[in-house]
Formats: sequence, structure tokens, C-alpha cells
Amino acid sequence: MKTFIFVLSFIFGGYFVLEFFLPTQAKAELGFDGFTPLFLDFVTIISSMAFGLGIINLFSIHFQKITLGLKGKFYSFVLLLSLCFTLVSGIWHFASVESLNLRLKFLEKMTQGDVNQKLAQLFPSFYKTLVSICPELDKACIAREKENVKSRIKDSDKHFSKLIFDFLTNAIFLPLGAAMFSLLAFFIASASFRAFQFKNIFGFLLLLSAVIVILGQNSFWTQLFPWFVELRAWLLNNVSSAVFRAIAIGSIIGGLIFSIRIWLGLEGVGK
Amino acid sequence: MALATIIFALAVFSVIYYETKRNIKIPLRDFPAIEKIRYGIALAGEQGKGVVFTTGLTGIGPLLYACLEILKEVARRCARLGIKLIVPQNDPPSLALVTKTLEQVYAEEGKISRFDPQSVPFLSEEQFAFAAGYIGLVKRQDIGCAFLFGSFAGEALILAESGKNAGAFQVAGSVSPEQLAFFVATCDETAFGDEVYAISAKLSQNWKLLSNLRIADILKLVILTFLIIGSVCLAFELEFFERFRRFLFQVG
Repeated sequence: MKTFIFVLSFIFGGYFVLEFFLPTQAKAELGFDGFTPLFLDFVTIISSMAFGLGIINLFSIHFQKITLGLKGKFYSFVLLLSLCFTLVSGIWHFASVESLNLRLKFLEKMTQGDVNQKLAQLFPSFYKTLVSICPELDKACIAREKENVKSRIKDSDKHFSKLIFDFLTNAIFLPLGAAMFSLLAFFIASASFRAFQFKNIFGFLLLLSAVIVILGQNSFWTQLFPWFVELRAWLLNNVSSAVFRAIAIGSIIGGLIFSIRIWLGLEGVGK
Repeated sequence: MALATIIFALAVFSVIYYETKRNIKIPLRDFPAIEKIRYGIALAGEQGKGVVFTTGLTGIGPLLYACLEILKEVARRCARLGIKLIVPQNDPPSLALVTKTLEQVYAEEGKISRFDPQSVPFLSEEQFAFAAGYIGLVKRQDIGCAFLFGSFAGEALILAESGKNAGAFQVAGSVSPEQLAFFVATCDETAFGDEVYAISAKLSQNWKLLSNLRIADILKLVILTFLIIGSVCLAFELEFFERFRRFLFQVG
């Protein structure tokens, strides 16, 4: 099993290494353009299975709280109820719109050529519906049905499932996220008050740079002292960004070495 | 592109070379963060409070594995001292890995009965929902010490401030340069960038992690050499530099 995992990870890791380093012409000749979207689809599918892990964990913790009558059981109940509600409305909307999109793709394939038998085998229910609407399967009738499906896709914005999902997203989830984000303003103020203290030389430098950056952005102050803008820009572009890049280079190199070890199967992860 | 190829080839060669030279001694300097980690856990134990360890928004990858080595040390000490450890998670695959790691550590310490799988709660994949859950967790669970190691975004200050407001001793380490300033302002000790990898190597004394640090230092030296050559050439406006620069960075 370990050998199988190592071989798989080496092959796929090697593919993406080559995909980065090979010249564009070589990639086109070797057919890399076709494989990359396919592999990225694999990653999306596998990642989406991980959602189940999170949902199982949430259910196990909060359901236990409810059944055992522990402290906070009401909030656990609210969490599970809202999770189920959002999940059901999202899946309902996705199913109703996606089936229409699939039907449209089916109709477009029907108008392209005579692949009727293959399509009939792949999508028997769509084919049956189409035959009931257009018994002769003539192009004019199929074109009318295509327009009908397109207008239903347009109208799906008014579907009840979309209204619920949009309400949950736009009226509850996004404002709550914005409220949490707005806490940052107050936390920055309290952290600054604590951190910018003239206790030693480093504290003084921190305080000085904070004052320069804050005043350099203030329109009233920069009207009085225009050179503050250049001073602020110099501080951010030369001092701050140099340090950012140094930290980023160090972190990326550290991650690169680890990744190469995992790719070559030299790292026993979790051991 | 040539520069990227040089760095990558050098990295691969160095990894294979060091894999064959396991008897090389690799000394490491001391890190204040390691002493603070031990101090924080002891402080929480004395106060009879719990310890929280968060990896923020870190997904499965090299950084998570480095943070897991630090988590193992924290879990080992908490298991020995009977301190409650909570590890809230943001990423479902990381959740499984962290749970397994903690179970392993508790079993090695002979304290498997103390391990509670619910001490690794999944809060949310959404950044600010995770922060909201963390605030509530820190307040309700009476936390004496908080560790924040990994990759963080805008919620970093919210996490650190909530721990500070709860009176917890905090040690942080992040590879996100933008968030390091917030951690410096709020936490008692902060590890910068690749110090997180260095601390994980020092704590675990794992030869592979130590050799990773040596290879990273070699690569940083190579990059520094190129930087100095480039800066000198630019400063003196040397003619060959433009051709050299195009050779290093040309994308094919």
C-alpha cells in the first residue's frame, strides 16, 4: 500500500513539476493542456469528499451535547438546524438548476449530429422526455425545446430554493462575516494601544513607524507636511516590503524542501 | 525560469545527498519560543486551566506537518501533566490528521484514557466563522495558554486578541508576514516565518527536519548570492547584467 501511494504521489507530483518547468511548445506537443484540467478536477472531487469529514465531526460533537443535555445544548441545536436547512436549500437549488443545464447540453448535442442512440443510452430519461415532446426528433422542434429550457434556466433565479439560499447567504451569512471583520477595527485599536509604548528602543521604532504610516495617510496632515507622503511610501516600499520578502523567501524555501521530500517518498509523514 | 530550475535542481540534489549522510551533526541555535512554549504549558497547569493550539487556516501541506511536530511536544507535556488540550480545526482533512497524531502521542505517553476525540472540534472552513467559534471556545473553556502556529489571514488579530482578553499566555508563529505584526503586538512570543520549521526540527530532533533546515540555509545562501550580484550589477549599470537577468527569468 505504501509503495502504491508513493508511486501515485511521485507520478502526479512529477507531472506538475514538468508542467511548471517545460517550455510552452514542449507542453503542447506532449499534450499537457488536456491533462491539467482533468487532474485539477480530480483534486476538486477529492477535496469535496473532505466536507463530509467536517459535517460528521460537527454532528458527533453537537448531537452528543443535545442528547446528553450538556451546557450549550440549545446553541448546538440551532447550529445543527441551520446546517441542515442551508444544506437542503443549497442541494435543492443545485439539483433544480443543474438538471436544466444538463438537459440544455443534451439538446445541443442532439442538434450537432446523429448521435441519438448513444445519447439515448447515456440519458434515457431526457431522451424519453424529448421523444414525448418531439416524436419526429426534427431540428425545428429540438430548437424550440432548447429555447424553452434556456428560458427556464433564466427563470430559475426566481425559484423558491434560490430565494431561500440567497436569503441565507445575503441576509445572514455575509452580514455576520462583515460583523466579525468589523471587530478587527476595535481589536487593532486595543492592540496598538498596548503595543506602541515607548519602553525601549524597539518599542520606540515601532511607535515611530506606526505614527509615520498613520499620519502619511491622513489628508489634513499631508496638506501641512507633504513630505510625509514620501516618507511613508519609502518606509513601506523599502523597509517593510524588504522584510516581507525576506520572510516569504524563508517560508517558501522551507515549504519547498519539505514538499520535495514528500514527493520523493523520503518523508514519513505522521511517524 | 533558469533561476527556478537552478534552485529546484539544487534542492533535489541536496535532499538526496543529505539522505545518504545521516551521521552529519547539524547544530541549531536556541529559540526563545521553545522556552516560552514550555513555560506557557506549566503556567496553565499551575492555574488549573486548559491549553488551546490552533493552526489557523493551514491546510494539508509542509507547514501543517511542521506545526504537527510542535503540537506533538505540546500534547506530550499536556498528557503528562493532565492538562486539557483543545485543538480547534478549520480544515476537514487536517482534522483527521491532527486527531490521529494526538491519539498517537497520548498512546505513547500511556495516557490514552485522557484522550478525548472531541478535543479536536471542527469549527468552520469559513475564516470569520472559525474566528467566532474560537472566541467562544476560548471564553467558555477557561484557557490559560494559547498557541497559534501556521498560516493565518485577517482573523489572526481576532484570535490573538480573544486569547489576550481571556488572560491567556500566548505563543505564535506564522509564515504570513502581514499577520506577524499583529502577533508581535498581542502575543508574549512570536516565531517569524521559517522559524516555525526550525522550532519543529529542534523540538522533534528528527534528523530529516534538521537536514531540511541545512538545505534551506544553503538555498537561501544561493539566492542571497544572486541578489548581491544583481544589486552590484544594477548599481554599476553593468552591461552583461541585462543578458544575465533575461537568462535567469525568461519564461519559455
